[in-house]
Amino acid sequence: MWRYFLKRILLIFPTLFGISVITFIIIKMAPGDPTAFKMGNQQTGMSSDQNMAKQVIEQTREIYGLDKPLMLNFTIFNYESNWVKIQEYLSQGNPTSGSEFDDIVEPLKQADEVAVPFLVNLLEHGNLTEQETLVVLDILTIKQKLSISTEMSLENQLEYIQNWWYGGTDSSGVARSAAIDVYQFSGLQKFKMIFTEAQYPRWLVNMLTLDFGNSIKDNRPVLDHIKESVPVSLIFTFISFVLAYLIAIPLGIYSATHQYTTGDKVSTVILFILYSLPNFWVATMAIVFFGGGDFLAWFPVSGLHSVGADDLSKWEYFKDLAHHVVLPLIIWTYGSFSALSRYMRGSMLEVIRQDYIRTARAKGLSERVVTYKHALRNSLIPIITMMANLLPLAISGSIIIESIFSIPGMGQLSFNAVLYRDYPIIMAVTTISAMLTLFGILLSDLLYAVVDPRITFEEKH
Amino acid sequence: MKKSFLIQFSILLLLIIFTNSGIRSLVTPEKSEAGDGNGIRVDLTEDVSIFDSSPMDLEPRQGGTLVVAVSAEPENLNYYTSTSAAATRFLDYIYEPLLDYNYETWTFERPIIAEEFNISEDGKTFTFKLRENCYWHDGQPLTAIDILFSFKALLNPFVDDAPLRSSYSKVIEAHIEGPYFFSITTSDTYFRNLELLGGLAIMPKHIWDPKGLMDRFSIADLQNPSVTREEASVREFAEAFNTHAQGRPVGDDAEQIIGSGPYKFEKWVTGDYMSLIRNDNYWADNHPYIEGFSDKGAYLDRIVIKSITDPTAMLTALKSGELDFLPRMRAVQYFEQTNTADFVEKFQKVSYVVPAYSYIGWNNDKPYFSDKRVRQAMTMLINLEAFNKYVIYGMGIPTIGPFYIYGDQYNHNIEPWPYDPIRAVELIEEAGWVDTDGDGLRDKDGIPFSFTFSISAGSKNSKYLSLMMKEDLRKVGIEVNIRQLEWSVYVENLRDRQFDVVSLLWIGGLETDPYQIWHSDNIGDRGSNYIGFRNAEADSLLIAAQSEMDKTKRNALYYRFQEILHEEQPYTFMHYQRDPGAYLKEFRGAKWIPIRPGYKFYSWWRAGAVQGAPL
Repeated sequence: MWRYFLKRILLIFPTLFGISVITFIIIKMAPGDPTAFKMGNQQTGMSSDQNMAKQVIEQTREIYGLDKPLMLNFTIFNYESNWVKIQEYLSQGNPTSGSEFDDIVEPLKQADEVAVPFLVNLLEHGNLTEQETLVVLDILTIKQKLSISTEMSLENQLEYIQNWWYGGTDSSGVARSAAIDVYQFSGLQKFKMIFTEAQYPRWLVNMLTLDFGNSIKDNRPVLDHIKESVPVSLIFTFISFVLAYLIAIPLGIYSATHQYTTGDKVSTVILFILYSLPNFWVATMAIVFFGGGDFLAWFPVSGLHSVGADDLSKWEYFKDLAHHVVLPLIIWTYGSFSALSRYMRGSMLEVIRQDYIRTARAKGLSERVVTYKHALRNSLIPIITMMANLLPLAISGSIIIESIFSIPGMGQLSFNAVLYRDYPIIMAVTTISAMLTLFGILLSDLLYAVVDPRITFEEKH
Repeated sequence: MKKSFLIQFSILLLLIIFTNSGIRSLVTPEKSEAGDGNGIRVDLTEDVSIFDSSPMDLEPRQGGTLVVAVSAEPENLNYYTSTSAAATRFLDYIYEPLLDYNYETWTFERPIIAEEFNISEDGKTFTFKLRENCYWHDGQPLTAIDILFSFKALLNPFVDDAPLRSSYSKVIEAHIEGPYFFSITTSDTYFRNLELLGGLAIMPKHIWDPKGLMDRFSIADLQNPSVTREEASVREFAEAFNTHAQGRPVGDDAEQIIGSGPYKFEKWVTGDYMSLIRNDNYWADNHPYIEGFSDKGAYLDRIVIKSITDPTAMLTALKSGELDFLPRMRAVQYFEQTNTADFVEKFQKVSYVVPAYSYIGWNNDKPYFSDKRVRQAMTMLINLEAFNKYVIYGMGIPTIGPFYIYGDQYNHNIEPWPYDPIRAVELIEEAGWVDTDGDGLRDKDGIPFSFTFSISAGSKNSKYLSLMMKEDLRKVGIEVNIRQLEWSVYVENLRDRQFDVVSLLWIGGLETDPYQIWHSDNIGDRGSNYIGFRNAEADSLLIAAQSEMDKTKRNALYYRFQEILHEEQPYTFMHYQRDPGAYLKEFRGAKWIPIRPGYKFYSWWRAGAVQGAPL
């Protein structure tokens, strides 16, 4: 048993690693990036004042480390061959803008500081064509944030580089120190950079110390966001879970013991109707009919608290919260009745047909004792193991219901993070929920063994 | 078996009847024409200037709370790094600029922190004399040191404000001369410089840079990479600035945002609401804050900004009393779901215009749209009038160009293209697009006239527009494929110019510089001229206008520029939008202005408010 347990625990780590690599790649490969939202959004439109040209975007990407390679940064070593590729590309008379050009230049930019001496050397002794010179200048300007503008003449730009590299007096007459010394790296430093100058290793190292980084959207630690949102979603997940079990299990038992009666059929139909009503529609209807528009004013329709709820007494505060929770909670729960009660009905029916139940009845036990003492216990086994699902559910929340009722829970957090391409939050949420899912599966396996003596993890001798 | 089927069927039937009756009572409007008796106020003549929508029968009084809804919460409350409109609107009550618009003449000259300003002969140096009685919320005096600091923070290359900073790239040096004199120099003359420099919100140095990390550096230093790269404190400051607690004041024990404006920050409950509280020690409380707009700094004690994502929930919250003011609702809600006698009696509906126009952008580098005759034909093939009437309930104001229709730059002499499919087909055929292979589609050089209209998922108006176009263009042998894209992907496709046709909204101001969007320098490299408009005359007009300081001469250049745009039709310019809203009639002093967001709460007050009463 313990051996098995230990084995499973150890297996969790490589699985998690695999999951995180795959999620990381999928998220980063998805089109779009966080800078899109710096231009405005679809509701309010885009601001015509802002210049979102290349330089602005690149600077923003650099602040968040999005300009680095995904997995390992080998551009540190092969920038020279990358330069040859650019030369080939240019010699074929290809355009120096557009996404194809960006892809070609990207690796050289990713070498960043390491390639600078090489690039300056190219400018000095490389016998470059004018076009090549411009490309090199462009890379240096953007990555090293030089104040060169394309309006300057080529000679002025080159002179600027000269001054910057070897030091000298700038236009305002102040002597500047040379940049050349800053850009020298030892072999060990370069080797380290393979890992430190790439996105995934950086993230992994931080994650191992439980540092999920800062949200791109507001620069706050990701963990703070999660700490804020988890309790909110937890209220709903937990209560709706309890409610679902409290209602669905008796219903399932009733349906099984009264199979094919009118009561069974009516409850089946109702449950399936509920199951098929889409929750976004029901939520909107509920708001219109019970939210105090033109119909009944029973419940508030947005958020979890009234404005100023903080000043209320504990009891009043709780009442206010409960008032806000009712409507979303009903929507959250109603769909899960049918599946659960069907499971219960099915497993109960199976157990009732067993020989030992017939024996119990033959012994003359009352139907009540047969059902609730002998049959129920055994038919609960599959239901109990389903509880393990609670773990990952607890932090996933519900995107639709949370959005409609403006509830700041995990659903909204992760949905907005995906829309905004807030990578640190997406990664944290997926990693944590992967972890919880793995633990949940482990837990349910163990629960099986605990509740059902027929299942054992001992090795057979 | 039969019996159970009957039961199931009847339950289903009951349910259908129930839901349908519910829906019918929701969508049946009592009357949907504008104007008469249903509380709608669509007064086109009053769009132009400030207009009041409340009766003037009472004297303004102080006190009261206003709860207003926004659809999205700002990502943070750092004035420079935040790019969301929600943040700007909130912070505009807390921070103040040197100057602002005069709400009567609509020129940028109303003194706020600055008392007087002066522009040098060459138009490059701006000197501001500050008021000496300006104070921050914590009682510290607001001096030229704060102004200089604000510009340094803005121009620090490591601060995450690249989109904002790009407008200030021409600033070369700034000086303070004594505690109340500030001067700033730019490298070029540019007509928007006063607005840019004077309009920057000023942040307190003693809060954001208590260690004085930026003291050692001049503006010129910050533009010099060998300084910014080597001096660790430049980066250290930027990191502290980007993550400063004042930029994200969440929770009960959050720091107060320190500004200088008529309102103070009270609280931000994430995902729920943000609130402002009246600054009783406001430095300008004893004189009119805005001439002809409000008699005092502000009347309302408290403003609560509640974030509600779902439009139905928003309107319901207004009706149930959770909200006092809903600044923006859907047109269908405005015209059809708010007509009950009860609603009209309790709420004042209002529609106000803001400088944001919708357009269809044709990628001029695609074979279909490279010929201006085709683009003209496209404009004449789209029934914008029908779109305005049936989709947006007549809330659009047709426009012919990119300038604000109520600003001085707009050329009113240009007649919009008519809806004229017959003339359009002639033009398309003139351009060589005819059906040569008999497949029902026009073609030219072997390319069939079949393009993709990219729309942003979630934009209902674009969706209706694209469906309308698909239907209308099919009749003249042109195929439109509709592609819905998520916003982030949509923008990336725009920047990479991977699209045929797009439809979007540009937000401008009273006076704008069209250079970013229309100059051919901004094609490619992710510039904003993503549709690829190239015109040599337009280019030279745009450059000439930028440094032309004489307004009449400048506008003459822009008039000519609009003629070119009208002829070339790189966009099909659609409409300026009116935003429909509603507020509780108990609120008075609601004034509407033609710049974003259309209202300022300084003039609002609550008729039933008792001064000094608890909230």
